[in-house]
Amino acid sequence: MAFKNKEMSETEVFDRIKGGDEKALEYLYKKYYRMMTKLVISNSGTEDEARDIYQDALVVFWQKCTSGNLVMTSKISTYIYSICQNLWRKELERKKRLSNEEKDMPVVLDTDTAEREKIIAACINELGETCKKVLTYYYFDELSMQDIADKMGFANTDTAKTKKYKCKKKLDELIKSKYSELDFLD
Amino acid sequence: MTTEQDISLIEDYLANRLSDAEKEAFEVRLKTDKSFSEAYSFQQAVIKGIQNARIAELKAMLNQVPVGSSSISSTAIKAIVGVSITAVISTISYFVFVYPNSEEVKSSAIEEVLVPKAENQTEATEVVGATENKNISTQHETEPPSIQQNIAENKIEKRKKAANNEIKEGKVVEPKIEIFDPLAEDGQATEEPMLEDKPEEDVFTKSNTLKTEVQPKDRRHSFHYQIEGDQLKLYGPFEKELYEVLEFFSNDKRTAFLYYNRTYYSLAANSAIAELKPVMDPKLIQKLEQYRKNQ
Repeated sequence: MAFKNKEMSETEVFDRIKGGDEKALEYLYKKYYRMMTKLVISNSGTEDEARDIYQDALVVFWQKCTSGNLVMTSKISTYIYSICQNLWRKELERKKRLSNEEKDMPVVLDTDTAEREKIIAACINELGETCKKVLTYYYFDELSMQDIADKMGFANTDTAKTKKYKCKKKLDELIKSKYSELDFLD
Repeated sequence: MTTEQDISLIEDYLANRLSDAEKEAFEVRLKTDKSFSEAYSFQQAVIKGIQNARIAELKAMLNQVPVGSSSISSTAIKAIVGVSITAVISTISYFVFVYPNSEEVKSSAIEEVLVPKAENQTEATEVVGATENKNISTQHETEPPSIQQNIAENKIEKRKKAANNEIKEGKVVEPKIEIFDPLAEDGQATEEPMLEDKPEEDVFTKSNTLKTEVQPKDRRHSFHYQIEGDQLKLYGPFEKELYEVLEFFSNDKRTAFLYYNRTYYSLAANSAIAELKPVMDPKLIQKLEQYRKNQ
């Protein structure tokens, strides 16, 4: 594995993640695993919950970095630690709320939402790799058209825009072809 | 039919790219325009689906990264491994150096089981009755002595000396097969027929190896006893009445009784302080009475 024996500086890690380097994210994940999971475990969380919270925090960090919306003024670990703290606090509040609701009313599983997410995930997987990447860059990483064009090797931003439009249209039609639009109404 | 402009507007709203005024107008339209509201729900679900798919992909990637357990530190793992290795080495060393004749011990143990019962009974009688059976002794003298056998022999020898018995030293004693257990008072003791079939002198030998100490002022133990090695401690008002300790030996096992206030009490050889319980078996009481009279 890359970076196995190599220590990276804070700036290097940040720059690599900003550039979408997944290996740098893996490096970061491994480096702070114990520190971050300990936060949750020592606050009445299980190891599974701790891992989940840490991964969610890293995803948030990744998204902030790649979208260019983050300027680091502290250590990366401090920043991720604060995200973990917030996420775990929210989770504890959610659990507490859920526990109180359970006392008052029977639990209703939101099977419709779960089913809907499954449908969309299946349709995304049916797209080609290029479309998948373009849509992910645009809707998840929030990259600019220029960045998408650069990453995908498109001639210019207009090509990137057209490609994004076509891919999105294809996905919408794919989903609609399989399921009625009414299925998505809340 | 959703227009391209509507989709673009919905995307801008979801990405928080609209101004406050645009946002307000958007939310009013959501409430009034049903088809626009449907389009919004659809676009929101699709975009969320794209984001969730990427999150799932990243998390799946992170799950593949090997990380140590957070609950056990690497130092702790090293310590556990170290202790385990030491324990294994110690165990192997113990059996290699302390029990170099383990094979002999095993074979000896097997032979002990295979020895006919009648022969063992003869041997047992020989030990307690202080009569020699040269054939059996010779047979065992040819066998290589094991550590276990030596320890057992030493224990018996010490007891024999203390009891001033006439048993000769160095004699190999067959391990016990059947031992008289007077504590088995339920009337179904397997040793009971042996007592009836044999003369009592062949089964028992009596001596005074226990050193008795009375503890009259113990608040927690009013009528108790404790045997530690050759030390007998009696807890209770034993200084007021006379008491008598009767000891019997069958092979290497000592059986002791306390006679106090016209009642017999069993004295089991346990190191913990135990309550004195009277002997209830009439046959055993009769035998003990007989012994006391013959004293």
